[in-house]
Amino acid sequence: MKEQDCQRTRETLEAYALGALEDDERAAVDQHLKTCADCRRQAAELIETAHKLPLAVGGASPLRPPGALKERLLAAVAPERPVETRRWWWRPSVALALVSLVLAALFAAWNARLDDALSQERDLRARLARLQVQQERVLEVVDSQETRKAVLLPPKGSDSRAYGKVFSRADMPHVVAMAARLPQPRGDRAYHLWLTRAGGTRLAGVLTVDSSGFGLILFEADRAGPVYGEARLIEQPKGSRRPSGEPVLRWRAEG
Amino acid sequence: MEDGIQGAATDAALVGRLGHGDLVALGALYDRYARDIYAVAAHALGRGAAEEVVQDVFIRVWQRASQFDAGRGSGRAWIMAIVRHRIVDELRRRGHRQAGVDTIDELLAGAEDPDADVEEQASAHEEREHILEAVRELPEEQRRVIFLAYFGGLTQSEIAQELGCPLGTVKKRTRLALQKLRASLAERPVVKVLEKGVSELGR
Repeated sequence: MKEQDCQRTRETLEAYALGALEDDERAAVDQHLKTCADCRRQAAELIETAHKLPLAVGGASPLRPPGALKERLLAAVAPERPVETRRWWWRPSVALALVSLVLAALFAAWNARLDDALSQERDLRARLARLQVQQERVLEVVDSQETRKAVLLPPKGSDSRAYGKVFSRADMPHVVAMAARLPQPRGDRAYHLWLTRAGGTRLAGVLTVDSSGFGLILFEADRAGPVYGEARLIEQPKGSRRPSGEPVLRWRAEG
Repeated sequence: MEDGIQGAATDAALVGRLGHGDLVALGALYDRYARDIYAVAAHALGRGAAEEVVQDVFIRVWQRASQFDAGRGSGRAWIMAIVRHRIVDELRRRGHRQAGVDTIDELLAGAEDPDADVEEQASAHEEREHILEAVRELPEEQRRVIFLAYFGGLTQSEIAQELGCPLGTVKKRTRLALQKLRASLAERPVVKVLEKGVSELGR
């Protein structure tokens, strides 16, 4: 009986996910999903898939919301629940860490002069805030409508599956570089990222690769919207002052 | 989401933060999805209506954040369900649902390949490109059916009537299209890698 129910339901789950069932059909599916975890899982996956369709439209369309719309929206909701003062400690993990820091600071105050404890707390707060700013910056750079992206690929003919990306924004000096599927560098070598633009080539940073082959660098260019002509990631001895050797990943501007 | 820092990058965590009155989270969700919502609304309803739709949607997201249940689906699916309702309601009110879908269909059927345009590629989000590609790979008649359902709010029998083909054909195309899309989108390597990278910055 249940198997028949499942089979009947499965045949309509795609239409269910797309909202294309008649009311009575939808009610029957809803009823079945209440009692069947397997079908519920299937339905959830199809619903996720259906709700990706708007992103295809966003990707294909040249239209963008006007810049002022975001400010208007935030202004429209802001008076309801002003929260600016809570801005930097809302994340549960940060809040927890902060609570323990404050407790530690208070405890220290029992033993030391209050001034000392407060300055210690201020210092720790500043460190936490910096960490937080760094993460937000990465997201700001890689995940915005202003983001420009260059894709770094292995040299032609190589069988490496590694790839990398350099993200920048015209309105920010911050640049994020990431690479994935890289092997750990050999011996005393490290992955150096070299960026070239009109003024010459400079070392953007050294990429530390984790166990899954992923690494990420955030750095600040000397001005907003830096325009590069070439990016090279080269495995070379630690502390190298200039690029040398074949890059493991490279991107070059066209033209 | 076991990790608060990594969770901050997911839609579900951002929606969760709205419940605490977090405007930064609302801004982050806006940055992620306003472009898609605006594009769907502008193509389905016209640019004049699109701004209002975007604003309405995010106000609803803000006001209803407490109703979001992360156990039942992603933050994105929850937001897009609100978008779809808003757009289908408006098309229904105007009484010509297919017209809005036609414009979207034409846009997606366009031969223009985003990869051919360097500027476009540079600014486009990785996942968007991936989804667009997967949708474009669908046979035209399958894409048409799921668009009429999703963007136009038509039921399968209405679609059969609209296309002048048997209901059984519509059902078959619906199933094939969404299954194929799900299979093509099963992997999203870059976004995962990126989330991981961001979480590691926090350590």
